[in-house]
Amino acid sequence: VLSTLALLVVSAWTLHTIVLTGNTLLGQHPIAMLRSSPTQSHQQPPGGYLQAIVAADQMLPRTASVAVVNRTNFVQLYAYYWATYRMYPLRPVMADTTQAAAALVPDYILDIRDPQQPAAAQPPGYTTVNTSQYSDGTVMTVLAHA
Amino acid sequence: MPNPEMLLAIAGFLGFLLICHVIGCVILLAVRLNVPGVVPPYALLGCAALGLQLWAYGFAHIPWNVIVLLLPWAVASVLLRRGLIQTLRAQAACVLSLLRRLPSVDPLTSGLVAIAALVVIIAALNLLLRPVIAWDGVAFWFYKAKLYFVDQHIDLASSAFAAVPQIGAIRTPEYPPLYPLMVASTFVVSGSVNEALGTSINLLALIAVVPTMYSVVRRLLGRRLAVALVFLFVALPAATPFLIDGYYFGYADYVEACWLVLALLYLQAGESSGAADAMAVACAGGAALTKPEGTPLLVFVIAVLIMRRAWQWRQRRVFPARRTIVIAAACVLPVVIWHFTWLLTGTITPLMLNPDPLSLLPDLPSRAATIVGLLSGYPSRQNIYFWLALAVPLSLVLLAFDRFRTGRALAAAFLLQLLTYFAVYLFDPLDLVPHLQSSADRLILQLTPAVILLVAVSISPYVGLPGPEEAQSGRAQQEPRFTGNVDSQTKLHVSRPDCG
Repeated sequence: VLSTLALLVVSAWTLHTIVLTGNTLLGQHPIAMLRSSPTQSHQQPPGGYLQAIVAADQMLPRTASVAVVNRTNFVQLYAYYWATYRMYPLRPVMADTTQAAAALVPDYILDIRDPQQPAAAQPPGYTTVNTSQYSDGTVMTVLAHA
Repeated sequence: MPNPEMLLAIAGFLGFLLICHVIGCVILLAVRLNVPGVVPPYALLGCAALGLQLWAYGFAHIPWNVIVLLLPWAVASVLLRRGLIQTLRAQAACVLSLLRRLPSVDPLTSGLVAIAALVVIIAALNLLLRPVIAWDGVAFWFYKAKLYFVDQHIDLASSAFAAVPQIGAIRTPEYPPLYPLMVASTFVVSGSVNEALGTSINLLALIAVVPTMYSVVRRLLGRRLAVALVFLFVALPAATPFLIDGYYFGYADYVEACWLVLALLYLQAGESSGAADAMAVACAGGAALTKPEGTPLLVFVIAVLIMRRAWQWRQRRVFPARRTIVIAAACVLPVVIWHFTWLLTGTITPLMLNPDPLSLLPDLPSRAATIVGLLSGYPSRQNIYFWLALAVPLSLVLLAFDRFRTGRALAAAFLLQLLTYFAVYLFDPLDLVPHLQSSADRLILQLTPAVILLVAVSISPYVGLPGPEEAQSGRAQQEPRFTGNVDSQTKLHVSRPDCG
């Protein structure tokens, strides 16, 4: 009886997996995926903060010191992990405001904010070298030490 | 029209898979390790070897680049060319023979094979396209891979591993290095941080496990049931976040699950083969070097093997071959080195080390109830866990009814691993409920392929085929002689795949 039950379990488990897998596969768009560029999709992760860090990584010199001011809805811890991962060997530090960031005297300050947040205050000794906006409206201001 | 970059990425993955597969073949030819009837997970072994090679290069300050990385394997391939060519030819013939037989198999089997193939294709496209954005992937695994690749060595004293208490950032430097090193090996082969290829390690592990699992399970249950059970592994809904939807891309748990089931597969195959013992230890060593959960697995696998061989020695004065013991010891060595490496820094406190476990003693019953309560809710909340909840007790009951004449070692190692997870949660220094909610599904995933194996072994005495060894000489086995081809000139052991 038990062995029959076991066989029934394997059969039902397989059938259920077929159904679940079918659902998963039907939600996929392999042709569209084949037509996509891996490089482009890796350069444009979902979320303006993530895209801004990717852009900043390509923009900044490899030896610069960087402070990141995160004023988006990404939690600070994740924002730190993302910035340190994507920008390594740069070692960005996190700050709450551009003034607090300027106190660390980094070569560059990245102010990344949601569109409804006020524009970054420019701390003394820093000049704005670039401002860019991303698909979800997130704005990144790059401030360089004068 | 497909994107040329996508075609290039697919070709890159296939190329890396082939490189790892050949390296795996070279390693097994070099150490003359062959488990009759079991197809080894060549590509995963090869990829792990590349990772360990990079680790060793870091110690010796040898630069990490594709030439220095692959040159030793090219030389070894030339030296072992005769055996290697024979092995690859045999594998190609085996694949062709399987493909030729596909039209004649029953519709159910061919349907399962077709769906599994679709899963692999969809997984490949997703892994190549989606960036790593999940927490642990960004914070630990891919961060370390990039760190190692850029620095060209592992330096646990590096400030890049420093915690940032102000925001609660940690780097778990004590976590084993194999997964980031395997990812780093894809970067080295690509010459840059190629995230697409790095995430594809999960797919490489899946592809490597399939023939091993099929070859073991087919001997137990016959082709049709083996295909069904391997299908369950390939299409595992719990693995979707690691292979398709990207929720856990960059996490090491899927690779850990693959090492774990491989160790148990060889533990099962080892009932009739001493060479399988070395492979079981090698795969458990791979698990121990991939995630901390692998270390208890390695201990349990070794303990179970020692008990099994001690029993056989008592019964029949059969002792394992010295070469098996040496290979097994060599596989444990990197794990020991790793633990010494982080212990010797003297500054690393393991994330999961509870400094005062005794203080939790009065709370253990309530903590146990919390764990059981949360886990028992899984099957009703997410229907992918229902079958696991049913399969584990049913398998154990079936094995018990058969008086554990088979699957004894497998069941012991599985249960010990399960109990270890439970004990770790019991003494968890972190906040228990949030930790359970954020990690239990991944730990269950680690054990799920092993549950499939447990089911296969447990039903085999009732519905299965008599194994070739059992049919010939019963379960009592002495250290088996190599049964594959032996090249007369080079004395190389050539693995002949079982094309069932």
